[in-house]
Amino acid sequence: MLRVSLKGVWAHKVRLVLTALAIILGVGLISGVYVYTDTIGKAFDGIFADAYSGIDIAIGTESAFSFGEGTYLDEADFALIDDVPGVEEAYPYLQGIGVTVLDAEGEVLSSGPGPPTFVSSLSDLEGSAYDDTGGFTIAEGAYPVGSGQVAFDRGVADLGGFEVGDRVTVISDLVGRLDLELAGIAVFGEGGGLGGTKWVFFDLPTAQSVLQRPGQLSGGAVQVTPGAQIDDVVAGIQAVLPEHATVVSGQDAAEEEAAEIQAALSFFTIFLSVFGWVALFVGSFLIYNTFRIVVSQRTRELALLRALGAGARQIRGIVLLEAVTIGLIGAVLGLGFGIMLAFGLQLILPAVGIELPTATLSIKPRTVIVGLAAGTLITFFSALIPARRASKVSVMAALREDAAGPTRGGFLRRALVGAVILVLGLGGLFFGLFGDTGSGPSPIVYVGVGVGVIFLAVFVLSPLAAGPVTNLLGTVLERFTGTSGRLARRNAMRSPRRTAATAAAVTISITLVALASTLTGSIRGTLDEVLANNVDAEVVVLPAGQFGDPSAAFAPEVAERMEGMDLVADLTRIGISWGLLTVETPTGTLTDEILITGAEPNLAGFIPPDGFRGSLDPGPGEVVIEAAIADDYEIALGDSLVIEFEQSGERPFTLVGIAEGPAWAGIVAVPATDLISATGRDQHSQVYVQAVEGVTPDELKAAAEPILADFPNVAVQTFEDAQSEAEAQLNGLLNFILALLALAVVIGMLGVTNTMALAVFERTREIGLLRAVGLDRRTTRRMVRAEASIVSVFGALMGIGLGIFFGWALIKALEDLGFAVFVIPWLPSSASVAGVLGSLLFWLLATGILGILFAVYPAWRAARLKVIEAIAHL
Amino acid sequence: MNSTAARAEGVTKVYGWGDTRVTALDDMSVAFARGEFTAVMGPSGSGKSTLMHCMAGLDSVTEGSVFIGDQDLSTLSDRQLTKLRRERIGFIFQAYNLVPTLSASENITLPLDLAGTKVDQSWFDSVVETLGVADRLKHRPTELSGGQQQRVAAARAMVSRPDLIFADEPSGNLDSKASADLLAFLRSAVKDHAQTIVMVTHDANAAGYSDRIVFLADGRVVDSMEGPTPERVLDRLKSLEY
Ligand SMILES: Nc1ncnc2c1ncn2[C@@H]1O[C@H](COP(=O)(O)OP(=O)(O)O)[C@@H](O)[C@H]1O
Ligand SMILES: [Mg+2]
Repeated sequence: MLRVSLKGVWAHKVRLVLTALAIILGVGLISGVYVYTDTIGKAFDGIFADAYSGIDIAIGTESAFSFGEGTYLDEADFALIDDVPGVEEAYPYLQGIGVTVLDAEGEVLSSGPGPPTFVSSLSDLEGSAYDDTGGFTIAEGAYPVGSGQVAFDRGVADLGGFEVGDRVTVISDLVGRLDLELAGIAVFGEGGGLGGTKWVFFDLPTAQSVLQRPGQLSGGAVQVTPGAQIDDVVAGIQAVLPEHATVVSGQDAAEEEAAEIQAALSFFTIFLSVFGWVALFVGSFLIYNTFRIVVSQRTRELALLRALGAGARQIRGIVLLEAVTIGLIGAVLGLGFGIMLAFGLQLILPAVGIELPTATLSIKPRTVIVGLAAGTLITFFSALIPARRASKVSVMAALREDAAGPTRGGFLRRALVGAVILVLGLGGLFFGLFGDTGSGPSPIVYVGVGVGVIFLAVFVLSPLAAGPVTNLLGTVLERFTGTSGRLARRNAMRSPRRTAATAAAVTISITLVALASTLTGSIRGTLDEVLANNVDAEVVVLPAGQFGDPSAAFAPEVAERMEGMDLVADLTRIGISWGLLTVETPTGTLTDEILITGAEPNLAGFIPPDGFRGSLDPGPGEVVIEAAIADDYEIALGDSLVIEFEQSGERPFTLVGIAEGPAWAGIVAVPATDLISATGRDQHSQVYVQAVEGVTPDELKAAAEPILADFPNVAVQTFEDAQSEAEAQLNGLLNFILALLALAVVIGMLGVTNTMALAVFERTREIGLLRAVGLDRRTTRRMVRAEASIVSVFGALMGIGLGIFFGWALIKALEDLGFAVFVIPWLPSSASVAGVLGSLLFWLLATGILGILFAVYPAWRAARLKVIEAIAHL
Repeated sequence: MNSTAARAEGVTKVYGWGDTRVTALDDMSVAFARGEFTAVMGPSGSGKSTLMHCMAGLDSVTEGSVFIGDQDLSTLSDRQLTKLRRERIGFIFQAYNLVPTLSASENITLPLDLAGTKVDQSWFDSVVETLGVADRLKHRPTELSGGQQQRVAAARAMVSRPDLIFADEPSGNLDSKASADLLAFLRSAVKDHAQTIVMVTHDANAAGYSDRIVFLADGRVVDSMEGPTPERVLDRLKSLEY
């Protein structure tokens, strides 16, 4: 039996290659992601082990905030550690973010998207118990001393071309411009960097002033006296420090930090490998369809085997064994491809400015097992139904003429079954999106299962639509291509189930593409609406290059300078900080970490609400909230609520105003004075500026820029700028997702290639006949390509329909988050590449063209058939 | 205007190499007169189909030349051959003549559609009328009987008014009634429209419809007969020891 299977595999090499290719690509992506992230994880493990290698006990702080700036220890508290028995020496440090390094031209030093620049204290520990820790040490020059000196890590120094002794400029978000002397260059551990992060070092007092943390520390490292029990010392230190201090052994700290990175990486791994699974899912349709066609082509051969005494189980075995062989070959090659992919990523990412630590490739058993199992099992299960069909071939089929004909009928049954499945899927989806899932599984589960079931329903139903839709598409095509179009149309219509199954693979990938396009289109629409119609200001001043951290800020001097300009009529300063909003509702306590806006009284003049109740100008201890949020928390005017700030703890507020409209989406506004006292920070995240009569936004921007020239960490934006920046970010995101989906699209199209190749083989005699009565080679090719194109576009139409629907459902579900507008992006949003890629019509057209391209090979085969042999066929 | 519609001059056709080498046509020369209904007879394997295929430009010859009118087929490219087939030659095979996805009428006009030529509607009507398939035009081949399928194939061969029609055992799969209908039509096409037809058959009755019979054996022309009747044909077949 094995021999029959293996011969079957070998006899159809094209099929083998195409089917295996789907597996290779899918398994390759999954295992490549595993290998790559495992490798990064291994590198980080090494880094943390090094960093903590000389530290007995690590002291840090914890925070209830996920997004805040972290909590701090007072120097006075830290000093108590010295008296704890068993402590030999305690070394404090302060770390934070909020600085920008300028290059020699005064531009922001950047190597592309990545983590922010870190600020840290660093002092000479030579001779102390710490001179041998694995952390940063100065490799060149000297440790920075006093407010005039700074040190950079090697990466920053190299990026900016700085040398020891150079004058350098660092902009602090809080204290503004600092002109400094580069005292030294630091390296991590044995001489490398810390995973591509950027570091700026000061001595402790200077770091405290730059970060505006006078007398505060992030934590410290402790060396115990020889012979002391580390656990005892940990307990002793914990006893003298405040509750939010964390005290753990250096070893635990290294493991904890590594585990944190692993958790972050595993999110990344899951996110990326989802696309691999999608590719495999698409591939499973290709495999299913291939085996279906093959089984129907081989009906006679299989019937002959039955006639010769093969049992139904043996027939099934032959088909499944063939599938598993192909799956295994594909999975093994896929693993190899994945390893190459990981290797390639290690080379490519640094080249495009994404610095991550590297190590020798880490190929874990998990990677191999998941890769091999995924490839083999998916092929196995995809071939299960065709194999069952094969085993049902009757012995009589060997004797009958046209045994391979499609089985008709069951239209109504199919329609009914499909409709029932569809209703179930829709139910799951809508319950997950809009229903109250209570204590059951998370809404994501309902949505995911619902989407899967809807897909299933569409595939049950799609053969019903395949005939009419391909007929329509073909009729359009026939207008342009004449007879070849007609033949293509009829061919696409002749087996609706095959056409539908081939199109299904295209459908899945195009659904995701259309979903991504619809979501970005809708976000773009929402932004356009908010920015264009709801903000009454000519320009806005924002932190530059902070990659979406909404609480990034700049010094108050920026607003002061703007205020002094003749062209400026009025402005409003906005401070933003994270806070924990807690509300007592009748059903329980709700707590969320949200952004708190520190508003000036004139804020509403800049972002006029569509309507409001109460006041828009909160006084001390008062808060104004957007209607949707107020609804979520079920709070009404006059209710009290509590906002906890990371820096100062809980503060009570009274709700005095509820504002409506897109401009206020997500806003929880307290008086600026309250936010400053709660955070201890007088800084701004946005300044909206109105120009005097007759001054255009561009004029105001042009006038403001020189005035803010020495604040390269802020940007002056007109609303057109804001729109195009938002556009650029959206486009970047869309491009990234589309790049990952490209693989699924390719596999879907390979399915078209495979079906067409098999169809050409099946129709050899018919093509011979056509050639005999006058179909030339070119038209033959065109006929095959046109059919492929029709099938692809049919798949794309279903995919676009589903994508729009899922997008709409998602936008509706996320309305509370401010997704006010639902846009179907039929046309390109701009003339840019991303603009075009975001348009649904483009994808409709593109799949049509891809269909043609992916049918080049089968078309060539068809045209190459020798007329005379084709006629003799069968 | 030449009175020869097509001719083969010293045509040899060899299949395969070495042990599997078969000489299907052996230095054969034969001519088919314009406006004549020629039957080609001979035992199985004598090269009848091969001759049809080579004459019609479906297959190339190993040696010698084939002419359609004055056109030497060996000088033509694949595209020119295709063009020649759809414009100047009609075909009727023994079976599988029709494209299953196209209706009867689409099958009939297929060569014209491929050539981008307008259908002469009155000619089309008269052809389908004569062949008795006028009421089956919208049907798919699978919905037609064997006789109807062959008559549709005949209509397709006629409708482009080709220089000549090659028919390879067109009635071989039909019962005697359907066979007679088809042959009567071919006969009348020659008589009424001066259509040139070359038909392979091994049925003496079928051959009786022709003007002339060419007898083949082992890839050579071994005999011919003018104005055959079934009885004469049977006698001749006996004498040729078929
Ligand atoms: N494609 C081919 N390959 C090899 N031999 C062939 C091929 N076609 C025909 N033949 C051989 O050529 C000879 C003539 O065949 P054919 O023309 O089909 O005979 P007929 O139609 O008179 O029965 C036969 O011996 C046949 O076996
Ligand atoms: Mg023959």
